[in-house]
Amino acid sequence: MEASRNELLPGTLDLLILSTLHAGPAHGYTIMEAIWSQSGELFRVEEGALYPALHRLEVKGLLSADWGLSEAKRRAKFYSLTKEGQARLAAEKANWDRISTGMRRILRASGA
Amino acid sequence: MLKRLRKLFDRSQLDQDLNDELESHLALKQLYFERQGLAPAEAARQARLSLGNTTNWQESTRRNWTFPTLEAIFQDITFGLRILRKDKAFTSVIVITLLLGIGANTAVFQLLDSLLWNPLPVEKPDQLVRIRATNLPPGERAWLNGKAVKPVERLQIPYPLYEELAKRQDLFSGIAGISGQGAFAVEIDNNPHRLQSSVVTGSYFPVLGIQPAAGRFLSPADDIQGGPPEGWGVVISHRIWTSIFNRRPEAIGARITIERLPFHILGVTPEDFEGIHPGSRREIWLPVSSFETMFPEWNWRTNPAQWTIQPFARLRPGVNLEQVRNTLHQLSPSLLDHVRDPKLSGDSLKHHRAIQLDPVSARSGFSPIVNSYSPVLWLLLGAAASVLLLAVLNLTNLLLARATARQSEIAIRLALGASATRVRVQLLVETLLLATAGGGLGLIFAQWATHALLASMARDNTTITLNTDLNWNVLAFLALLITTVMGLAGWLPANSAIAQASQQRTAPRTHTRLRSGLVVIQFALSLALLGGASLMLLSLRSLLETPTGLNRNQTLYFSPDFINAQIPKERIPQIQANLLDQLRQQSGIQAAAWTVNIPLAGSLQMSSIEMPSHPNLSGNESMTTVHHITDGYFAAMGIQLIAGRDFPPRGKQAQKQAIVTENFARRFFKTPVGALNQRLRFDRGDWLVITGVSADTKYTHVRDAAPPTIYTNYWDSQTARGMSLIVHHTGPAAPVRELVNASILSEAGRKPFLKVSSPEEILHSLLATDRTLAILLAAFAVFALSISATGIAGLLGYTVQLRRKEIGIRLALGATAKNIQIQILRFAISLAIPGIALGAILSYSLRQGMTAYLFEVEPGNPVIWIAAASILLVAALIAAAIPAYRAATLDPQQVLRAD
Repeated sequence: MEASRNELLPGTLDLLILSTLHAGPAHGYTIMEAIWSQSGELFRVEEGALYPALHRLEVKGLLSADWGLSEAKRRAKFYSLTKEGQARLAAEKANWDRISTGMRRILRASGA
Repeated sequence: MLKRLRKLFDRSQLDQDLNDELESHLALKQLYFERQGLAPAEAARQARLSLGNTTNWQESTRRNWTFPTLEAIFQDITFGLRILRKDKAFTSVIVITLLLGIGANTAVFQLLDSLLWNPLPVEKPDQLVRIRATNLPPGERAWLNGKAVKPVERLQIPYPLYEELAKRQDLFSGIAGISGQGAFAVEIDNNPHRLQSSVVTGSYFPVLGIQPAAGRFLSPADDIQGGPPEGWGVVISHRIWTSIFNRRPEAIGARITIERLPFHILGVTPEDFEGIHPGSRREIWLPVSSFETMFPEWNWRTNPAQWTIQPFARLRPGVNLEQVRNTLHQLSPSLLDHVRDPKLSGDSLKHHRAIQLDPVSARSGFSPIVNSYSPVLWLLLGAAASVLLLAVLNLTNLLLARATARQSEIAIRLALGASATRVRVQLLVETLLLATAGGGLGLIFAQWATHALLASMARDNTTITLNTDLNWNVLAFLALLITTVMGLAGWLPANSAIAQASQQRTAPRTHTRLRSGLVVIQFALSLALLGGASLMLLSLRSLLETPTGLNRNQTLYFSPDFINAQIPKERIPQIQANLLDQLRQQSGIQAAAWTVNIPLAGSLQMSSIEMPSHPNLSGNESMTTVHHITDGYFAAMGIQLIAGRDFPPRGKQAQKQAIVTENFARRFFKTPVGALNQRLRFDRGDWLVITGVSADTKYTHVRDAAPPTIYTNYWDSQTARGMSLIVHHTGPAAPVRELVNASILSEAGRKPFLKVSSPEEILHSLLATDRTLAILLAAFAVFALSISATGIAGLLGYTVQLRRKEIGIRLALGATAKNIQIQILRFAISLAIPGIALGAILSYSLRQGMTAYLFEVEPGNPVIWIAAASILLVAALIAAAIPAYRAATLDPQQVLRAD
């Protein structure tokens, strides 16, 4: 099924964005590329999902944004983690670890 | 949040940023495709394609920064305004009816608010209490709107009791008292004035905790028996400082004379403070001990039987009203023993001990006019509320009609994906806009109406001053009215519109039933208002026409204040007699006389009499009204002498005489003639012989029966204070005024303060409340009638429209135009009759509220109610005439071919 390759689990996009930005400030295109390549070309984020999410995180104060020049020499918006963003990332990551460990144990035990 | 708000106002910046972000993304994507080996043009195309529907996601990005609900409501408002502007006739009719409905309610509420709830402009008004006496002995009577009633409270207590209360520093941080109030003779720069005075204890201003606008206030050191070494001081109001002294600073320290006693001005009250009695403003405050010097014979300070001090106190911080009430109730019997009449025994003593001292909040002051005005205002508020309800029903009706008319518009919106909630909000916003427009204009109308109402209800030549400035109470009331109007009038039509548009129900039939129900309620309210107004008008007519036994025209009353013009007491009777001689010779003057009481203008003296013919009169039976007059009084007042003769003029008296009224004569001596030559006396004074019997005359109020009265000859004693001159004249009044003015000046040698009035003026002010009530109710009733008539006309028009086809078929099948018309008229009657029946039930249950205001009219007067019902029926028929005519002239061919 195509969806299994491309689509994200609901609610995970925020975590992916935050963790990508942990490496340093980036603009939308870079974030999209990073998620694609770091997931081993498993996860693909559509622009239609990414930009609303970026802006939502900015409104919430988890990200801050600065205008800079992109590789294409264009005015581009660079996002970086705020202090609240760092904290949220740590919390979400711990939560995700817990869920994935649990999931893995159950799936292994049931032998599926 | 702040960022978000900023973006809300900086839309273009937000759009620019979003655009830039998209462009930069596109550029990178294009770069990527170029690296894959595509030509630049193709790479740009691919980049754009891969992005999909950019508007869509740009919009959802944008939504993060904005307030969608707010924007939706903003859209609703602009859309609503556009719709309302399109239908100007509808909008203006609704706004005008709501304006009157909301305006009338707001105006009456504003008066009630300023009378009952507005806090005094003093420091921490919540701490102020007044202390009254309640649980009064059963024999006590008070006068309210000219009727004797059992009083609930006494505002004043005896001074010795006040002193006992002042000792309770555990309850009060301060206590003050007001002794007399009234118009005092004040001479400023040789000009006589009458100023509304308050006689207060030195603690008055300190307890209130206000700051003077100029100078200083009275203090306890200014209020000592015999006066302070520098002489008596007074405080004047800002209004007097402005009107008499032009706000000159030299006013402080100025010497003035009050009731012939010298004073100097200490200070000026702030502009917003005119005493603690809302409705009756004070202009000058003098210390209570100066009052003692003014009237030394009045021993209020020591006499426990003189209930003269109105006490008010400031609660000690931390003590609440409930605690003080409990303590005072417990202490009352022992406190009242301080002021017990030693002669009291048995039941009277028990009743005296049962009196309770009761503290009540004086946050809003204590208004002497509350008891006489607030019932009227509540009645008016009830009437105004039913008028507003009528306007709301009318609006509901019109909106229901519009709901049908807009069926297709709403259906399209729903089909395009608008949610039912969204459409409902949109429709409610429209109603809210109408209600707000009506309410806003109503508020402006109310500002004018409160002043007009105040002026029209004012009695006795004194304007009622109330602080009717806008405040939060009034605005909250207005907001409540507006939202109620929106909820009541908007909800049903909005639901019905959505139901009709989404075809959930076959609307028209239920619709007609609902609208019929509204019309029935409108008729019921109209009947109640119409009947109430007719009752008041009829009562007013009876009040105006009831015989009082006095002349009502071509008569003037002159009340010169000789005493305060410093004319020696012993010269006054001579001046009075000379004036009579001089005036009686004038050609334009038919009769002239002096009297101690101007009829219907104020108080009456009562005295207990003794008669040899009736040796065993009880205390109550012996109390009789006494009236001091001179010869010529009966001629001047147009009172008929039934038996005997008038008093002799000054210097011609042989023995002391009395004239009694017919009802007095009949009560004690069976016939008028039987009273002649009988003897009576007052308080062990000289014996008087009855030498005349006059017709009965009303003296207290036109509502009251004429009191049995004994007239005595003023020339026998010549001691009555404040006599008034009655002049009965022919021709216009103005020259008579001038003539009397000049005569008084020449006889007295000085110009005294002179108050002039006439029977018409006195009656006018006596009936001010009745007249205002009658006029307002009549206006409300006319308004209600016209709304109900348009309501029924609108509904009939709607049914005719709905049953066009049926009517067309009937006409085609041979029904005459008359048949059709009768059918429509019958429908109108079928709405009016249940409305009238409902109205009759409503009025019957409310009749008690009216009884208090009616004079010689029964609230259940059948003629009035039948007339009111007929008027409503006729109105319904007239309103039905146009739709009936329209139905009868339908062209069946055209109707059947349509659709």
